[in-house]
Amino acid sequence: MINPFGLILSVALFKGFQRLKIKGKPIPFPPVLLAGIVIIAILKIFNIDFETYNKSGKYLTLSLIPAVVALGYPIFKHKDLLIKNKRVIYAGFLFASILAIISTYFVGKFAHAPLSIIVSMLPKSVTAPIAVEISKGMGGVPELTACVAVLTGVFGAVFGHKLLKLFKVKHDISIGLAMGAASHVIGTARCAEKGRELQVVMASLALVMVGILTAIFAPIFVYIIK
Amino acid sequence: MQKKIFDFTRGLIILICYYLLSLEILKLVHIQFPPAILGLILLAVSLISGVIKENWIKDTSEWLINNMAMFLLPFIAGLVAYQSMILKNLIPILLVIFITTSAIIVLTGLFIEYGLAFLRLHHWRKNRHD
Repeated sequence: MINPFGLILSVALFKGFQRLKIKGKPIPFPPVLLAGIVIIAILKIFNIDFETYNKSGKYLTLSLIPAVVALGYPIFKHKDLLIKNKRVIYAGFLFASILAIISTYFVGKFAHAPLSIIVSMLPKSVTAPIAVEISKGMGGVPELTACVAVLTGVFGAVFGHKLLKLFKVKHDISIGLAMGAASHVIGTARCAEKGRELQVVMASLALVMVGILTAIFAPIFVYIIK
Repeated sequence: MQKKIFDFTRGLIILICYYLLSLEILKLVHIQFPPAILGLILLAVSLISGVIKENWIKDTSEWLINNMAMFLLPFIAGLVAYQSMILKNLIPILLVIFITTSAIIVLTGLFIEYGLAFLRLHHWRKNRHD
């Protein structure tokens, strides 16, 4: 019998934070971040091995595989949008994915981060499940990639709309694409909270397309710099 | 209830099959690419071309996508093992996140905004000449 401790703890905390409401409104931080912090705290305080947690926790990680495959479904659902305005939108996906890789590398270099950390951070604008897959393929640290991707998502979700407003970006297509390309699922969820259907659709397309493009470009980039 | 369980299981089996298929394809052609992402592409192509029906995978896909963040928790808990590496590089990591994420959001937003405006102008000129 496997010790179900890790699995039960993770699911209970995540679902709990997902349902938690303060004054009738959902909490402003993503449940995954809060649940993650609480799990780390519990492991530390009660001096529990990560291995003990991961005996059943690893089955959650396994579920990532079908979840990433399932992202093919939103592409199908919104395929009409991909055909309309196609030239600008495709150019936008390309632009965002290349910009993400190059800017991460140079800012990382400038800040004197070691190469292994920079490589782990390259796919950070992509939704964490995809980012983890990319990072593993390039010899990065998947744990660091997952955490940085979640933090990137939170940062984008909190400041994205304000930044775009400051630079007078007004069209829902532009806002949605920028939010999905830079801060993936968490940014997309923020667009949904604003109740803008077109933003949500563009953001979900962007997060998948930029994910695919990053999976192609990031390993090539790492090959070049190494 | 039984039908729901059946539908969910069927969807899950299809998604896993797409993953296994991608794994085999990548082994055959010797290309390094995340198999789950190839599975994603193949699934989208199959749905668009009608090889598989939308309702075979709809419920499972929506459930998995809505709970995707939960599956990441073991990775976040696993950070404990990398504590010293992260604390030593905390400032570069945060700098990269703040600077590049702001840049990507603003520049991509502007890129699309001007791209769409340019297309509209282009259409307007073309229509005027016609």
